[in-house]
Amino acid sequence: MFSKDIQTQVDKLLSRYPIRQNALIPILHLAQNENEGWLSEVWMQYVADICEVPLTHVEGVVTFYTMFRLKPPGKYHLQVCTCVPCCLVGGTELLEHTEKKLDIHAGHTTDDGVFSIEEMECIGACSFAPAVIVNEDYHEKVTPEEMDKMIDELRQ
Amino acid sequence: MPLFNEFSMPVFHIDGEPVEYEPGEKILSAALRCGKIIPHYCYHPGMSVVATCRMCLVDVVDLGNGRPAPKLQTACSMDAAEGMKVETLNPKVEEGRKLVNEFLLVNHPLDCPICDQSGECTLQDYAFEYGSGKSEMDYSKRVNGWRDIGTFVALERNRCIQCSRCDRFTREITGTNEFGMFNRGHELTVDTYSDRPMTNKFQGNMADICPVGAITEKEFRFKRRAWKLKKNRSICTGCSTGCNITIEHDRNEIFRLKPHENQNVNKWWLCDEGRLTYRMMNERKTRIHQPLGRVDGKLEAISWEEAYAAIAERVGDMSPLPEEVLALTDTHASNEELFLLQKLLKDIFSAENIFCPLPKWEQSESEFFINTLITTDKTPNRAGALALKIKGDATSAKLKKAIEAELKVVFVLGNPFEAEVEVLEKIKKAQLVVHLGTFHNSWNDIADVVLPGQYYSEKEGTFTNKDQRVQATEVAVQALRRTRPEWRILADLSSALGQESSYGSSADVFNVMTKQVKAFSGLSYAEICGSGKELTQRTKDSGMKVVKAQT
Amino acid sequence: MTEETLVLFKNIRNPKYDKSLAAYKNSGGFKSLKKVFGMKPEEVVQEVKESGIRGRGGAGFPTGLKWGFMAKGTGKPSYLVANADESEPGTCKDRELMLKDPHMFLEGLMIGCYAIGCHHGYVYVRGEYFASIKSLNVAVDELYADGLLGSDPLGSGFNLDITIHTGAGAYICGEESALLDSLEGKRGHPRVKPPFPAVSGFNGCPTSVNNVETLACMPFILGDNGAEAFKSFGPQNNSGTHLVSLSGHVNRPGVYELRMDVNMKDIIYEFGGGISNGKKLKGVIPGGSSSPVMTADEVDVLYNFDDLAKKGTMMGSAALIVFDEDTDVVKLLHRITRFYAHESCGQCTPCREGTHWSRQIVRDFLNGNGSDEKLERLNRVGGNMMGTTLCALGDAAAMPIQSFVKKFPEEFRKYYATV
Repeated sequence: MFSKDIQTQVDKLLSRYPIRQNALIPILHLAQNENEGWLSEVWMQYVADICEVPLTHVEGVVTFYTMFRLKPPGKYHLQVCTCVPCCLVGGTELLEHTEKKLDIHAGHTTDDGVFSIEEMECIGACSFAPAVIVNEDYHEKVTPEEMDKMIDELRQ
Repeated sequence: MPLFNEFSMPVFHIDGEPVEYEPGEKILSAALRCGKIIPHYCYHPGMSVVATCRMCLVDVVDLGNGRPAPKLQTACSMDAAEGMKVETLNPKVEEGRKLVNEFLLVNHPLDCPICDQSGECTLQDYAFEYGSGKSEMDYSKRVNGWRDIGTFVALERNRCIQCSRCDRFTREITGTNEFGMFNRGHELTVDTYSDRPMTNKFQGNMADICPVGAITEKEFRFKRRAWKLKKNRSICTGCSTGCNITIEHDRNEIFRLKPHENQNVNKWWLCDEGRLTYRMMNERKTRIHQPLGRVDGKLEAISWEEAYAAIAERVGDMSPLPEEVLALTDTHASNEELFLLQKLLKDIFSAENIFCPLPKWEQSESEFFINTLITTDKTPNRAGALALKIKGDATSAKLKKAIEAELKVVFVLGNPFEAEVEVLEKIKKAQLVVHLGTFHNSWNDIADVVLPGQYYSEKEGTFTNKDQRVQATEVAVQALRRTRPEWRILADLSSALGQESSYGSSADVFNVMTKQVKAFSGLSYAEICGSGKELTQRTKDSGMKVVKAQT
Repeated sequence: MTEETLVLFKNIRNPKYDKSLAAYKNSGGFKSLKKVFGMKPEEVVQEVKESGIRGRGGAGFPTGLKWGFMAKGTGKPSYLVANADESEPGTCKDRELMLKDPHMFLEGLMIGCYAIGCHHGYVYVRGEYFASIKSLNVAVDELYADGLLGSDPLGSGFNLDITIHTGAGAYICGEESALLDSLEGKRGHPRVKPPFPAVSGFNGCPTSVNNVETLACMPFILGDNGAEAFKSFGPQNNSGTHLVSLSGHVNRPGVYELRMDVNMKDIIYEFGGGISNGKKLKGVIPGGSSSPVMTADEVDVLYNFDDLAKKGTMMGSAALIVFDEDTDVVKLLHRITRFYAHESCGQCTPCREGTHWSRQIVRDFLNGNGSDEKLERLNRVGGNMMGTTLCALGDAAAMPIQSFVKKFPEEFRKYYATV
């Protein structure tokens, strides 16, 4: 199921650990990227076989870590931090603003599948708060206006 | 230092009392071994220590070096040490238990009135002991719902206290990995993912180890309150492993079988197949209710005295030669019954023709101990028959020869060779066929006298398991009124046929057997009643084949 | 004092620095590693002990001592795992190091590997740090290409591999035993201790888990006269410079490299440029969200391990969160309790139930359902998590609750008192 390119990465990962199970989480990341940002049971079974662990083990792992998703996210996944330092300087308001702008609640995806919002616990950009991660890019000291602009640009 | 140490192992103190421990042993394990109760949920001696329920908190006032531990410690995870002083009853510990129990009850439903675990629920017990009687939790409780997760058990997830015993069970004991821990924090669930049903053959154990009513046996669901059940020690007769069990019953009805710990046999476990044998114990329809005698070709109810008298009269009339007498038995019979049958033939008829089917059987081999519990020999006493040198097979030359003779008297114990039409046909021609059995079967059709015996749960007996360990059952429930235990019937027959015997109990028979049968020499009944004892003289079983366990 | 002391940030503060291997070497990089390869491992550990460095991850455990505990002669490989799962709210220092000067940290990691006889070091980076992961991977590739990693770097005869491992979002994996479980490919559940990782860690082998910043200090400490110099940067028992993540209501939030004898007041008012919008200070959370809160009149204190401990709080990972007079501390506490309820792994009873329950109680105040009784209950429920769980997350959740209730009781009462 992995493309040849990704399979090379998987093989490299497996070679870096004493036992195959150790590579489970990095390989799950690759699987999630291959499957448009989420993990289906088919993929979990596939990774379980690669790492030689039971499927329940993979499911336990996937449901433990917040970065693994069991349903498809939007094309642009907006991860707004509202944890302690961010909420002091407008993180909560930024999230509310984003929710209003996209007309969805955190944890949901817009009907056109373009945007999804996730409310984040500390993302480690506390001195540059409030911070937002869009897919894999950090945006720091984000104002509601900047958020609007960003969303409008991404939409085009 | 005391000059003389009465203990052979190192010692530490729990509440001022000296407790021996093996190096590396944890406080809780040593305490439980000595009968000291420290409340706990997640700890199970057969599985890894996770120390997560936090109930077994104790106060280590001296670590063995004169210094106290800075805070309460979990007894399940802390190594015992020479000179250590542990307190399990002081106010600090009580406070610790109280708070842990309060946390556990925050989300545990108060549905004890409809919960099968009620009465044998550790959470209930400790809540009674340490709970405040009122809850300060005024929010709605966590709701996860009921799940049908297996053939044998159901999961009420609301009651789960996340001790993870069931998760560890499927990982460490059965290796089937059906259970797991999913999500985290307050939403942590321990179950099978997305309702996948379980496949392991030992699900009942998960109900046993579940400290609350989250996993319960479907068979037992809503049948009887646990505190109504009376318990008797016994042996599972579902196969030749002889797992130690308790028979749990009320008003003469058996509700379930539970494993009884025996480290030499089944450890803490019992398979689902074995658990289901309780159904047969309650079976009444196909049981033989009273002695029957053939009058004008039809079986009719007769009294015990009439039955014995009739047999004695017919035997007296025939004066059979040794080769005209035959006994057939199966390996469901106890050691005593086999012994008495053998003795009856020898003493009364000087006959030796006693046969018993001993088909080949398979013993599983597995990295998971529990898989070795189920054997393909579904009878409890094959090794007993072998020890008494009772053999034979439908194809054996000896049996073939024996049934070719002009048979006069045939005793059939249980239901041997039932599927062997040829054997049945031959025996049919015998002049007197006496059948001792508990259930109606094809032997009844050809028997002249049918003597109703009793089922395992109704009588005493010893059985020799696959490892040649002799173990005993005790009377759990009252037998049908007009039946008698087979050992008594055989003793009575012996008396009726002229050889007086004075056995008052199965134990008396056992004691005579230990004197007369070399393989059983040196055993005492009292010894066997605990956790059993292996035969000193082992008999080789050529019918066993070791196979890889299927997972 | 209003100047940074640049040890860890000496390259990062240089606007021309491009974080390449060449640039790092130009700045004197890998000299320490070369020196270390000429020493015996025990000598390296001794040097680290002498520097007095204490772990920068939060607990402040002496690093030299930790390395000294590594089980020897077990016949199993030893491992060094860099804890880059920075997720304590308020902390964003390791991200800076990994993103902007990965080689300094990697050199430190290599020194550590040599010191404890580890031939394969792992960096457990939190999964959300996409840019840092990329930066580290580029740097590691450079090192392999240069021969500094792999077999026989610098002719030392010491084979060394480094693997960058990505986490997947779980605060608890910052706890070292949970991190090891996670590294092994499992759920990140903290383990029963003992055995400690130094005896049985990654895959059951002796393992040392060290914070990124701690390791990044190693090139300096093992440099010429480094241990002595390092010790001089702070009062006794609080050696070295450290990275302070300043956040919240200050004019200049950011990560600053400071000596350990800088006053907290100066950090807020000098480095941070004072409270934003000309407001007054109400309080600070001195060491990440789990440390007990301090009020405005308590901030005149040296910002280091021991001085803060004397004040009944802790420096933790040196994440200083400042909040002004307009801050609703009940809301703030609600946000903190929500964090712990979300991040509890759930295996231990007090933490699983307590974090959620305490959050519900705080929410009651916000909804106007507070009472004296509930305030007392909040304090009790929080306190009951203290010291009763397997790992420190229970304590971490309990400390803010108890300190907020103790230091700002009036703020809670405002929510329910009838005027």
